[in-house]
Amino acid sequence: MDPSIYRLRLRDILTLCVLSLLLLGALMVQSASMNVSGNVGWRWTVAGTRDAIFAAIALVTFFIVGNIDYRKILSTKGGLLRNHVVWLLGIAGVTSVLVLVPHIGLEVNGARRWLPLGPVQVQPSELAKWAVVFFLSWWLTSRPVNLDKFSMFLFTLIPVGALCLLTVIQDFGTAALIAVCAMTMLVVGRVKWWHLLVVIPPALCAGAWFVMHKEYRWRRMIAFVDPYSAPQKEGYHMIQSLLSFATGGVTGKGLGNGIQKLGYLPEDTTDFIFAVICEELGLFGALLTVALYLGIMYVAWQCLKQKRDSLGRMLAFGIGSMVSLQAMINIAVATVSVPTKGLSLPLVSAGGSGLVITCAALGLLYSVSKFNHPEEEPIQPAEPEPAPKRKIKPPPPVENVPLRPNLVSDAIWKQWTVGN
Amino acid sequence: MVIFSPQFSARRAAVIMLLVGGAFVALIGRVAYLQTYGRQQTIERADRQQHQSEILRARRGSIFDANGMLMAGTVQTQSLYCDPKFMQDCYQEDGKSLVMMDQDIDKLAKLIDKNPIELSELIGDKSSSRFVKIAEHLDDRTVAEIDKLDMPGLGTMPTDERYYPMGSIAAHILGGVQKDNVGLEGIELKYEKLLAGKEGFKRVLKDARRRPIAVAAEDYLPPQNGQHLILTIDANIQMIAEQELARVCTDYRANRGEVVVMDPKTGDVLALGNWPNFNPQNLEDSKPEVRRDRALTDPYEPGSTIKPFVAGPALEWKITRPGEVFPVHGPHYKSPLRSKLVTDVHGYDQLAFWDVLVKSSNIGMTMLGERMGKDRVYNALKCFKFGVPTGVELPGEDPGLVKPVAKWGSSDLCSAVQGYSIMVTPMQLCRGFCAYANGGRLVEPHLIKGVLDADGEIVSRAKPSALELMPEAVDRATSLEVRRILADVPIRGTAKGAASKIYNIFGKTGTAHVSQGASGYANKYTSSFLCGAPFENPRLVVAMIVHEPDPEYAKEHHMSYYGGAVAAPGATRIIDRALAYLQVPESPAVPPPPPAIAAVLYDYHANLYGDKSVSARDALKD
Repeated sequence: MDPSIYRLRLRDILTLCVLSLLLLGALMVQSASMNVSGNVGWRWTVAGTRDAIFAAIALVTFFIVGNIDYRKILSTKGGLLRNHVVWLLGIAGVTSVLVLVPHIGLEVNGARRWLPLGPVQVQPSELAKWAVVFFLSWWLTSRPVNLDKFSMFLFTLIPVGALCLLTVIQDFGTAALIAVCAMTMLVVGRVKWWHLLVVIPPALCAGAWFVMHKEYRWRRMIAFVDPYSAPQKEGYHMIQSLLSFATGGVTGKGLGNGIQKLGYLPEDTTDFIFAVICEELGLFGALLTVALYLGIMYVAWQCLKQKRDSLGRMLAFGIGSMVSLQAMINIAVATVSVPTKGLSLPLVSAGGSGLVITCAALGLLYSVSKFNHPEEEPIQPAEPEPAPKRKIKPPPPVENVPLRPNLVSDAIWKQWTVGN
Repeated sequence: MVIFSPQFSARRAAVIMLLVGGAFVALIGRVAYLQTYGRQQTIERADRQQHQSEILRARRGSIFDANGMLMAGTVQTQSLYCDPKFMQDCYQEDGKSLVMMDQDIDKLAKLIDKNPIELSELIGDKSSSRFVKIAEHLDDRTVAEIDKLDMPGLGTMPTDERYYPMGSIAAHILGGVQKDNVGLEGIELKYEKLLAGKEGFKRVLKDARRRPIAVAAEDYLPPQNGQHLILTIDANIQMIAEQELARVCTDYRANRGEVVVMDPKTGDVLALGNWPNFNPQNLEDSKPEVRRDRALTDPYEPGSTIKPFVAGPALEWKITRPGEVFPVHGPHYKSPLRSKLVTDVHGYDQLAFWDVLVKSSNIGMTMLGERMGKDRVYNALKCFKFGVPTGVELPGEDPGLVKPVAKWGSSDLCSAVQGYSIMVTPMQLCRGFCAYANGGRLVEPHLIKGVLDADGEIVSRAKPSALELMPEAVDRATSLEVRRILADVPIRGTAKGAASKIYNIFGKTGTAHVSQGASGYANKYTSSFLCGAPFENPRLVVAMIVHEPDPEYAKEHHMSYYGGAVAAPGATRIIDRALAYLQVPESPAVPPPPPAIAAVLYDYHANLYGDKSVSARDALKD
């Protein structure tokens, strides 16, 4: 699309959406972490300050990444060791393993999810999530192997599955998100339907087993059916979230006036920030948030509609899909439409390094919308070579094979056969 | 390596994105549902969780006597409660033991005056509970000492408690309150709304740790403290009256007694007492019968004390004159009104009407009644509003009973003039007698002098109407005449022994048989004395009624059960002490009655007509 003074360019829409979400996030995190029992008046809270700083860093990252050609970032030329995607995959894998090692991974709330890295902490699951998106974008569009073969299809799933498994130990929600997102990318990447259909049931079974064998996950599922059966335990999060919507009503309590954030609603700056938004800003807040995610989806859609290289299209789809799916699941959790999962609302929740990583990925979307590479020549699949004609060796000449004595005379034989 | 064509399906991408977008729209719908219809189920729970309502109690107003002395107030005491679970947990921790807990409970029990074993049982039995009330009504000093014990799991809570600094004085007027500070009887009940005020409420927004955050303007209603009452009761006169009543009642082994003291010119009730009395502080110690304010609620047949109220109008209406001579002729009289003989205690030959009242002759009054007829007697009683509540500001007042004249039989007329077959309350008698003390006006008795608001500003002030505007029971001349006649009662009449040495008292005794219903009258009496003083310028009117003094006991101790002997000395002492307290100067001597009156009096002698050897005239000459 040409730059025009009358219309926002695609990347401007994206910038607007990202900026708005970051601002909304910083504002709501500050609001949610405010404590009213001290002095009256505006004060930056610890969480609010932290989130604002990270949002600023994330925004800078967004622009830096966005102004570099995505083909340079995801360069796959020149062997395995110079393949950036492979490196990313490797880093994600190594950190995912490292975080599981005691004394290295930080344990918060009983789950080992954080890897301390100097002053900040990194969630390897965030890395893994995007590594899978980038890997699939490259793999599905450049097709170094013949994906029409089931064995090659399974080979593709190996890194995806491995990262999923590593992540599922730390964070079931992110693993599920990775799996669903990978599925959408595989569908869009035109793998064979029956390949997918073969793989899905075992994956579902594994997921179900995983939910069942940990008791607390199972209790959470049961609590989802009737949150009021355990209002102080498993149902607490859900009930408090529901109460937030009730307290706010359609009009909302007004910015900063939320009550549920005062210790009632758990995880109010991260997983349940949407409930805080709805309590304070009402239906308007919900519409605004969803509209901004739909804006990102719109940008992704416009990019993949363009006449351009398929890596760019696939990247746009993957990134848009990942962000919107995560937002969707988070909102579904907050509205108690699905059982509780620990997923943050991308760009809005207080997340530290996760915010920066998400912004970097969205920077890639920006880059996709900025740099337009020409569509590859549609390479026809090479004519299947005619099957080589088998050279039939002439039988070796029979040379003086001693005949065995004829036990039945020709005449009798003839009689025997002709007579029938 | 073989390169296959890059593949990408924009159509599939569109489908997936549409699905995600649709999911977003559905979630928005879910949000909208939760904020509107779904809200109805959850908002109540949210409200319960986020807010804490508390009732702000209004402080109950105080009651003061006419001089501003506190008769009923509200003090804040502390209730002690305990969290047994927390207490046990604390004693099991950090090097302490349950033995120490028992020792501390022993100390605590001493402080709050309880049995240590019972106390530790109380705490032990409810060891899983979080709130047990241990003691009530603790003063600040005890609370400070309990604080010194430094026991974990103990707490105090302030409670408002009604406090009666005068003890049982004026108990029947005040009445007392129930546990929850709601008036039970007396003024406390009658002025419940005014005294209680209006309780307010506060709905506090709290955070999850139950720390208060804010109170919205519409969630706060400050309590309106109760208003204070100022009574017309004078605590000193009240005390004098109750003391003398108690003395009389105990001296004569009476069943019960009532006394009413009024200011005849304003209608202020200065004292109102019942015996036996009770302590409003400890209502549980007294029976409901004892708490009845019988001076208002229990009408009785007044006997002779009704006579001035018939005589006054009779004199006004010129039906008789003070000097008219009534031919009594002995202690028994066969009246045409009824078959039963009318009896006098003493027999007289002839009595001036003056002396009919002074000597309280039933026969003389019956003769007057015959002359008056039902209607006039009825009207005479109605002049003093017998049978109508006086309207004094106390609950449960009985109107008494004066039958409509159409239902009077002829014997009722005969009874009525002697004070039977009608029922009056002591308050009505006292109010009626005020008419003779103030020049004939029927005052309205009242108890409330004024109302102050919680800050002590005057809200309203009782304005007694001028005496001249009050309805006239008898005209002024008649009232003075009757007053003069009654002033002879303590000098020459039935209350001869009860004359005051300081003040001139005018009064009327009464000794009524107690009706036993259908079975007639038993050997039980109601001795009463209705009086006012000083005669020259009456300041007080006292009605003292002593029910059922023990006649056997009186006989044994050479005492009489007549009103003049039982109630009159007590009433006189009340007058003496109360007037001295009011700094009323000593009275001059009363001029003697006109000689013509006294000359008419002839003692009846049993032999006057049967055995002529002794004549009354001869007896007088001696």
